[in-house]
Amino acid sequence: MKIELLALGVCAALCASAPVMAQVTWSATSSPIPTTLAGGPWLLAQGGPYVETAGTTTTGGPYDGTTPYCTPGGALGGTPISNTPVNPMQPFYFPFVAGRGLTLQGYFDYRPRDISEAIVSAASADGGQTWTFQQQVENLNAVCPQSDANGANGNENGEGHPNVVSFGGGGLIYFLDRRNGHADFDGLLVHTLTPKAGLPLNGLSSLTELGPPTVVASPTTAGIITQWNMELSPSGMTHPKPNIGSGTANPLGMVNSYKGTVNCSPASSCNFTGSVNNEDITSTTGGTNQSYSAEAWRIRGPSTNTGGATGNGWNTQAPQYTQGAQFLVSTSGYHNIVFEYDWYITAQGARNLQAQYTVNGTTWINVGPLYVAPAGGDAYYPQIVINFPALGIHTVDNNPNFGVQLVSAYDPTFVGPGTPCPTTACTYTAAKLSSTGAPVQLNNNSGNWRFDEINVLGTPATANTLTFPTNTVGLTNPDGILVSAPNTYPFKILYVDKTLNGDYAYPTSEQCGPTPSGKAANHDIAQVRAATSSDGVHWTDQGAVNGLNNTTTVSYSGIRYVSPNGSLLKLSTGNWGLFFGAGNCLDGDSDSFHAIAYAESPDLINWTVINGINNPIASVSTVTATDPVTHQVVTIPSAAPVVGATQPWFSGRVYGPQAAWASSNTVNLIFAGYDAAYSADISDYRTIGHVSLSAAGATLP
Amino acid sequence: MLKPTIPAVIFATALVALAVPAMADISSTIPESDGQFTFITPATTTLGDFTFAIPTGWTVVGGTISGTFGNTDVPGLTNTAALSDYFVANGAIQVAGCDSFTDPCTAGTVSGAPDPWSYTFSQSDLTTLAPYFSAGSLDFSVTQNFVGEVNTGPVTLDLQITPEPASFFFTCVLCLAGIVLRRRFRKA
Repeated sequence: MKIELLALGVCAALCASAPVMAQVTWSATSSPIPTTLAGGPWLLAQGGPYVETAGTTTTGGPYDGTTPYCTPGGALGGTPISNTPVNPMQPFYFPFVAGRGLTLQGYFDYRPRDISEAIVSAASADGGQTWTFQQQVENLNAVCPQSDANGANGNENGEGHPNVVSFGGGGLIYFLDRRNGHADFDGLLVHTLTPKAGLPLNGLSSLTELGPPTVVASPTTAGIITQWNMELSPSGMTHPKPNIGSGTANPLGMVNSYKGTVNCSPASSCNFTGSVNNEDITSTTGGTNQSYSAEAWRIRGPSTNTGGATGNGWNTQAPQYTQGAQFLVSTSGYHNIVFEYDWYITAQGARNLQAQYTVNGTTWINVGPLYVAPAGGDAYYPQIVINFPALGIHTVDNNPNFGVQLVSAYDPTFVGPGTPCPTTACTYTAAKLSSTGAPVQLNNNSGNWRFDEINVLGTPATANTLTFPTNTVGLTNPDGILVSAPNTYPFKILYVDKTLNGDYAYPTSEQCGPTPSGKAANHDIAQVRAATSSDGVHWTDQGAVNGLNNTTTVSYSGIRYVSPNGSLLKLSTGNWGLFFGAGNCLDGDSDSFHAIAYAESPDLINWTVINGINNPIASVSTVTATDPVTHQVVTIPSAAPVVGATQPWFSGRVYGPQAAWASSNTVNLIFAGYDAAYSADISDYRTIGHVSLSAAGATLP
Repeated sequence: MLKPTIPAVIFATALVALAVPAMADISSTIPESDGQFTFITPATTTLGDFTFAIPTGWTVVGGTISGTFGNTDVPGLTNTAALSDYFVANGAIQVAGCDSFTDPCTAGTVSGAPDPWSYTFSQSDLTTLAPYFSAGSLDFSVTQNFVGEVNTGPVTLDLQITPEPASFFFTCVLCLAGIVLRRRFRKA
């Protein structure tokens, strides 16, 4: 018994010390500073100095401040004036920053409270510490304030939350339609970008087009023409049906009568007399789908067993390119065809795979390289991509007879019995190599291949006939784009799905109460979801991501809400790093501004939060209160934020982090903040800030 | 009377034999351009024409064309380009290609700067281009092969020219004759 316990302890210790992929540890290399803007529209500093009496600004401000928002002053029929020469960058928030190094391009939500809203672009040559105005577009109005508060007459609900999805040198820009009844219900507004030097927003309208969009896109499935996700297929199914679109998937060459022992040694183990089909769906975790319940389509063909081996392996006597899997999908109405798949090989499975395509259903043409199984087998080769247009192949466009087959091929590197063949390779080998690392002949007893996440993608022929601006279709209650995967087509985004007042359907124990300061509870639900699109307008929802937030947590230490305009980094570890705005029941608001958090993921779907509410990158002011879950008095955050002490200008809100690559281990973090008294003090809100961060544990390619 | 001229003639003849024809460069630049984001490919567009004048009696003996995939107009956007192939002479000669999603031309460089490219014309290319050299104009076009936008920095054509052999030899002979005549007149 003691020995068993000892063994258990050793095993536990070994497991505990198993290598874990390094996660980034961030540290600040500068103090947070408010940034400045040269030129552009009226800024808050022009209205100062402010005097606040009983929670209300009585002197200074946009109506009657030092330099009012309009000239000649106040609301007396003037016109909005400009910022001159340089002032703190307020009132801007929801930054979107592109570029690397010191040269950055920024897109900002300009939102003078109760006056207007617009999108402003600005450039920075010092990594985001100072900005120079470029353009102001999509202005909600040109009104002048009726008072400093202007609450009765103001309107600041225009187009906001700018986010650019780019690919191959071009891009689309997305905005939230913030009007009541539209925000978090309508699709995001989509505009094309036709940038010119110094005019990144070239082509966009000076005034907002709000009102009905020019064109409401029709709801058609975009991006994925056909998909086989085997997790969505019932176990045991043969000839699996696609879960998106239409098409056929069939095993190829498993029913055959090839006999003999040619190129097979020892002969006693491979004297086959043909095979029969024995495909199925079987549990196979890994590849693209890392979930515990992941499944794959297994292709195998046991011997007909009249004197040969009895395993489920493929027939070694079959000619190459005759055994595998075949997918037939019509691409009618689509072009830019891309075929993707996960390939799993058992240790005794055939080592070499060749993809072939057809444009007439009968003639098959090799495409792409000869793929070699991961050494040893029993492993996935995830998301092999055949990008036909990138290979100059356009005959597969708009083709009802398109198909791809994934077939076993002889191993050209094999040296052994039967080789050298007269002219070309003629021997299958197994994924599992010899003790010296050399390929060994396929023994045909048990090996098989499995496939999953087979996608046929394309651009709808209607893509270039879209009229912009328009609304996205397929995003659920979008509040804005969190991030887009760089250099990815079809476009892939994570977005915030916000259901206003949605948590009333939850049990009371899963609803926020009033905040410790007495602010009313918020009842929205904010869920981060993934989506793909081949035209940027029609999106296919890929489901909620895991690990960033818990929509039901009422813990003051948990992340209940996530806000748009986060920032994605590719890490040397292979992981993705994500900076994002996080919030919870402490805020009485679902805009997710309590802290800037950081998480990592291997696949953009499954996330692990590394810097959360209690050890954030940056946080609003410390709160001490009784936690609704533990009923213990807690101080949030419990650990000092990475950027150091909270500063007044982001003590009320901090979010919208944009991490711009600065070097192989540093980023410039541009973000937005409010002071704690922003509800009454209109002198210090919506500030764009900057801080430098350094990474340890991984480099930034 | 001829004696003194013999060394001069030998020297001059040797000069003619050893002389390297003078070389000169001619360059022409097409300004940077930002394309239009498009989903429909392949699509071919002429980005501009190089214009130049080859002096009479001179010939093109070499040439390079260089530029960048993407430009510096909008960081994070126009600093890259769609998958695309670049041609001169009505598509006869490919001078650059951005052909892989992982290449810096479309994936972006580490620094974010546009990705440079350069092409040196072969003798066969120069033969193909001869009519364009005579015409003083050479087109530059791009075929976009995938979704995105073709952005380019300034593209420069640099031609190395030299006097044609016949005229070069004729010039040398004239020079030689001039020397001989001058010496004769001086003796006289």
